[in-house]
Amino acid sequence: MKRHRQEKGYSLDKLAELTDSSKSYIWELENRDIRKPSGEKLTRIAQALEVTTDYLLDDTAEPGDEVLREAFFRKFSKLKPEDQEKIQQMIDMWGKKD
Amino acid sequence: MPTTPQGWAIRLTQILSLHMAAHGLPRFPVDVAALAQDFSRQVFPDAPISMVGGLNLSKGVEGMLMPRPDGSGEWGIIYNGSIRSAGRRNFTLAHELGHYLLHRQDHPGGLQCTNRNMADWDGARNRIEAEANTFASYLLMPLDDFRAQIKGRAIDIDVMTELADRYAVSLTAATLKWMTITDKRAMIVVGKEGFIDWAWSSQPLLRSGIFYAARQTVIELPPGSLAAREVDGDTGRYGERHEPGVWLGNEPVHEMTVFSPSNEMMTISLLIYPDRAPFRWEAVELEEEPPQDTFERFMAGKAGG
Repeated sequence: MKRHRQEKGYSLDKLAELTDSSKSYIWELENRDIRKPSGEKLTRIAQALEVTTDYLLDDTAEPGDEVLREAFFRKFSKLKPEDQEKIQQMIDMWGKKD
Repeated sequence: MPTTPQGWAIRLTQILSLHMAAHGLPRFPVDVAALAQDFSRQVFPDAPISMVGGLNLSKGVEGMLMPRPDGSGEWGIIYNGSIRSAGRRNFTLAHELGHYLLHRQDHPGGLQCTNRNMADWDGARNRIEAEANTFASYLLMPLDDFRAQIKGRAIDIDVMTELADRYAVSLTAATLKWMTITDKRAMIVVGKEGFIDWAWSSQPLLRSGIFYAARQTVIELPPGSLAAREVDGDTGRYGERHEPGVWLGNEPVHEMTVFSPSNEMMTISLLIYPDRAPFRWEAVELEEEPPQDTFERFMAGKAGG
């Protein structure tokens, strides 16, 4: 969400204004993972950023605290594909060593 | 074998001190990558750390500890090499080494750490992350040396920057270390785009009921603060003495702030409160506002005031 806001050149204030939200609410959505926006709010934010609501929801699914209690390889899929690829290459090299 | 974060850090600190002195090498900063590999090979020959490597990963990923997939029992540490701050990288390596020493038996699949975990100094929220941070803090900045460095000096951003350089840690890590041992009433406030991302009060300040519960509530940086104003870097570092009411509490506060424009408008503020909290009867005479008790002040703080 933050990335799209910045790409559009919107300040926190601007996006808040466009979506009839408070600035602190937008900041919270971008920086905290506890609050879940209402469907209506989500739609307005998606419209303002010109993305789909599904995309917004999926993009916020970054690794959470539960990651820590899970096996690394099971949660590997949570990392972005480009990160996974780099890590896999390093693991492959490591595996071949000595 | 030690079982606590401090215990492990003290053990490694003793070994490092002897080793560096014997070879005539500088004691600081700690070369964590070399230490992790040498120490684990000697002490845990069946489960050594056989790889420490940096990769250009996305923002938010700090580092990870993982077992070698071939079942050899070896471990590896990957850190995010795109993080420009050498201090943050060093802290990440020490954090992962802490996981290796303290948690690998309980987490045979390894551990993956994001920047959110690593800002977590709150034991209740995530015990193992707090333990890894404590280990890293004590390993990189041993208490004896840290105390010797600050003895008799007035603490400001320049002193903290000097310490951050000495130990190759971030300004935040050095400041948090000081926060945990100081008898001053002080607070560190990390701001992001005009809001308080997180804040930490020293014990003496906490005892007077002054703290931000910024992880629970969204709180804007006070408009009158240096952090919220676009002052130049020198003004921020030198700091400003605020009248009561800018920051929490009915007291004047000296604020020093570092701006980090490269890091999405992040600010790090060091707040120094008077050594002695005002008594209520003094507050009546000195302040225009009616005195509040600690609970009211706490609630006002939570509400963003």
